[in-house]
Amino acid sequence: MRSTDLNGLIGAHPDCLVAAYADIGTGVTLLTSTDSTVPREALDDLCVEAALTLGPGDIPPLGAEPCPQAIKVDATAIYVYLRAPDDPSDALICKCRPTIALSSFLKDARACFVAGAAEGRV
Amino acid sequence: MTSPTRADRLAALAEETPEFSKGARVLSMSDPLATILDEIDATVLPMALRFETEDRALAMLVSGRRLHRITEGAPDDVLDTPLPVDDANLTERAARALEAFANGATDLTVAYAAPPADVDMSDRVSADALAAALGRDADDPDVPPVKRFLSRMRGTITAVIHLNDRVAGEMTGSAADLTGLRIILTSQLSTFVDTRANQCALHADPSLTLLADVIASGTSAGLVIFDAESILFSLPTDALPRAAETFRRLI
Repeated sequence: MRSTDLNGLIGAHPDCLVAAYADIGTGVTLLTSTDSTVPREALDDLCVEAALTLGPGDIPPLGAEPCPQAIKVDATAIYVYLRAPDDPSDALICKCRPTIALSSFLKDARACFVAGAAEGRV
Repeated sequence: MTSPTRADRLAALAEETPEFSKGARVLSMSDPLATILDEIDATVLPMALRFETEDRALAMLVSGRRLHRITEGAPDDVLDTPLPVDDANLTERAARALEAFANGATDLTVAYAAPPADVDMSDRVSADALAAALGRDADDPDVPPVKRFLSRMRGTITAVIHLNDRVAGEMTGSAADLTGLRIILTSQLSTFVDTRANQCALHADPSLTLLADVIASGTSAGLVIFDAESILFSLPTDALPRAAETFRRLI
């Protein structure tokens, strides 16, 4: 995963306000889009939420199976959390406007991992 | 005196419920227009729907949860006219026809039949678009959002447990998925909710959380928290975007 992958995702989906790649096990944001002006505190909050929702590793917070993807909807935003296929402690974390076209966004967000894997990085 | 035969009992039942004599299903009458829109929203396979109330009828072709055309009971300017998704004027006329039929409707029934084989049903409008054309939500706004969410997701949600202050109430749906939900409810849910409430700045109410594939591969779990009323439910993983968008429209 590179910043350009996140830039491409936000460029294709203007309703995606934040895209970050993070180690949810440690709560460290590894990458954001290059033009991101999101405060560090806000990214930390997103990491905490992602870790609580997906579970930090292979143990799901709800259910019997590891959770590869979670979506949270509240009155102000839609949050998307996608666990990295090759490293369960890493995740793509996105905050979107409620108006986002979710199906196509999820498809493009997953494609970021595929592109990264194809280039030997995730 | 001999005991009544099965045929006798069926005949007696038929007399008690004459609405079923024409093969039609009796619909809830809390809001006839919302009920009609809900039927459209719940019809996935191509189908001819015929609504009847007293001496009036409204028939239509529906597919993919969208209205293709009204075939009976509408003014000439919209009758038997395909409804392109981008024709707002035609959508409004169709919506007005549904509204006129629903206005004052009593004893509403619906019958289902296969559509004509030679009809191209590619032009269609959604129940949401029809409702929006009338400036109203597709559901009765007086109905609680959780119930409206379940109504909108009818046919997609496979099992649901109603929770009131985290105490399980009504449980319905697939036995296998209910087992998965019960395990979540008894062993994980309180910790999940409390941890998020205590540690997460993004915690908000109302909210919907969807977790992919946590019950089984292809079967996901969802949790709606809305004041004291909550639901824990299961659904196919490929329905997650629809569930999220449906909930977003209701809050």
